[in-house]
Amino acid sequence: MSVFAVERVSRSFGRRSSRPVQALDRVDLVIEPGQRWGVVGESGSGKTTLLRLLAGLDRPSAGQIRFQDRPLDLGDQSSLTRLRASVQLVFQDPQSSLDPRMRVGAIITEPLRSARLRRSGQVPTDAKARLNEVLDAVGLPREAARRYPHEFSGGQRQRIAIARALAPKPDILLADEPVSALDVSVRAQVLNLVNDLVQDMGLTLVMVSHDLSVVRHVCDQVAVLKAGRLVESGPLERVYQRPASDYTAALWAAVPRLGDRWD
Amino acid sequence: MSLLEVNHLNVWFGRGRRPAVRDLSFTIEPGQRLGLIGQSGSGKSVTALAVMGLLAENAQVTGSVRFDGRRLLGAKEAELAQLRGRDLTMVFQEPMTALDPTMKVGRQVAEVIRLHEESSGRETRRRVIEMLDRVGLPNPGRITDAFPHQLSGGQRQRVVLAMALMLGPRLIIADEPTTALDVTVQAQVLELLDAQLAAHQAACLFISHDLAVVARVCQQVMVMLDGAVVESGPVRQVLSQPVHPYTQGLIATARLDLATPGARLPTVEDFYAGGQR
Repeated sequence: MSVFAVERVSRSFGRRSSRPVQALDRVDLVIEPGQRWGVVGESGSGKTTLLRLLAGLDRPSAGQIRFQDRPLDLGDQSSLTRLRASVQLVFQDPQSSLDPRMRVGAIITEPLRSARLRRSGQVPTDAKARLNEVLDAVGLPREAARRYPHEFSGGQRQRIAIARALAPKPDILLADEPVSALDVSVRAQVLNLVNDLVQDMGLTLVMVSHDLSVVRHVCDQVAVLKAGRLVESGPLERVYQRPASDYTAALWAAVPRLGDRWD
Repeated sequence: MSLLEVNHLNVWFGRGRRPAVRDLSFTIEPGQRLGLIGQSGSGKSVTALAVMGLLAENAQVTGSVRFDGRRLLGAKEAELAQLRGRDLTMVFQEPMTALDPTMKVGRQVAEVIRLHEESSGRETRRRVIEMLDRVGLPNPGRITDAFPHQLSGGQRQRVVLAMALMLGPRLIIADEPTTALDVTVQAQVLELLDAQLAAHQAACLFISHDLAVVARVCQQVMVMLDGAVVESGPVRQVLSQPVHPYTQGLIATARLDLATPGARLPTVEDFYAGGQR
């Protein structure tokens, strides 16, 4: 059983004056349980649009997405509940994705208070215990729960966002550029954390990034998007060692490396 | 005489808080490019704003900043306004906030000229289009009539760069100019900055948290930690023989390309215990 099957999915955004923008153009992708997918491409290549479709935040203009072998139908409550109970999201900028007026404890346990998820019976019921578990898992002190997001640095805020995503015990983690708003030096900590968590909890991961070196470190599969089209996809090391397209090679070459100047 | 001379600069915000910048001294020679690196909160941007005279009013500043021999710190606003945008310019991190969303791009670039020189409308427009062309914007005539939101992030940063280069500055302060851009666009903008600095023989104070980016543009580098400089020197030397454990940590974290995929990445804390933030 695949986690997601993306079948000839297109998403276009209408414009009154001119022809619509084709954000995704007939994309096919199958994501199996336990795989760690990286979705890479330039800005505007459709990476985030694809992630939003997988998260059930948007629906395709054409084609269909199957979630655990059943068509994903955002109009159907049971279909949506199944998706929401097992898929969680981490966004790019923890500054804007955390409510500044809520304490960290309330932010992290908010998904557990969702009536929909509680009814599904798949989320932990002891919120207090789960809060402590996920705070431990992401390496934050338990007293962090009483504080507000602004009291934390960018890297710590991203840990809070990850803790919130993990709280309802998802099977699938979707991450949209989880480290690109962070300092290079903080990036390593968060990537280590994501790697450990995905392994320990046996999560399926789909991570969007413009940086192939980040994806290479966390993922085992990669999908390369350009202007809404899937350029290539497959096992990461193959795509990395022998990119089938010049575009993939250019993406890789664009990553600034320290060694370029002084090795 | 150095182009920029910063001596014993201290900056505080509010009483009882630890200084944002502590006893900072450095010089930049004409045409020289100095990289300033450190984690968020280390005082990099405050240093840049102090040099530009753009700090918030609650900032207390001591020490001296001299540009081409002229005192900047404590200078009258009118005197600073004369220098800013002409001899001393700045490129900010986020081009969408640096540009006025309600004003067409061409007018914003033209404003730099109008504030400092007498220039006819037609002549100004010609110079604006020429500069937009020089920073590699396709179809510059069309770009002048566009609003910022109609451009991509990379195009907007090229516009900001055009404004900074317009009047042939002698020093450009670039504060994380490519951090908001994706890697392909970043590579293009860095190449452009490199070429334009060389063409204008302009000096640059280049601020970034990314060592690899600094190494791409600068000859000299200064490492900042908690408001103070812990290490400085030629880029090559600092990167190949870092002395301070914090610098060693920064270098290790920047080398993602050397890490075995999936293996634990080194962090700054592996090298420098005080670096937790």
